[in-house]
Amino acid sequence: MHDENAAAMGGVSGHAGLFGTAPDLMRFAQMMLNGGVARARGEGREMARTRVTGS
Amino acid sequence: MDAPVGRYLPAFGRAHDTAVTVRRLLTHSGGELGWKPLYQQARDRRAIMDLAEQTPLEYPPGTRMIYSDLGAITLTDMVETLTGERLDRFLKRRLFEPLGMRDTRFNPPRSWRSRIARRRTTRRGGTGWCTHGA
Repeated sequence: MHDENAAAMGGVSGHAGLFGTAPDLMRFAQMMLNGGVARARGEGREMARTRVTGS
Repeated sequence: MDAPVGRYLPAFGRAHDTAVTVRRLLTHSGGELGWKPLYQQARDRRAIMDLAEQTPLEYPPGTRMIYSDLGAITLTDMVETLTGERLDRFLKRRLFEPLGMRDTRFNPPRSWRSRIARRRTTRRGGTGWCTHGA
């Protein structure tokens, strides 16, 4: 990552500067799949468990 | 989400139309210019944010989609203004820690270097690390 605007912001900004790993990104993606919660409950869990393509 | 950004950032509200909403900034359709070398005119964090927020819009809000660093910088200011926390601390507390994302952070320490992908080339043609000289 090389971004002068982020560097001028002390390396902390919403547009650049975040470092991470694939397993961490997977945790984030799973949270999104859960409907925005760490552990799916209710509708979020139903959505994650529902087959949407064919039977 | 559909509130004008100016409701949370008064200076932004004075510079732009109320059609620039939080949702539009999040979906890169608020009218913001994609990128601009803010660092050439502003040195510190506050000045960079002010400059990003005062930059004239590139297109009428909601009519196009242009991936915008300036919009993300504006959202950074909004999160920090509303929470009173800097973005790195806010995300650590509310997102990374609850999700167990222990290897995600801003300004990675030197000890992470062996795990960080190395840039092949820079705009100037050289090679270098991906971090900001940490």
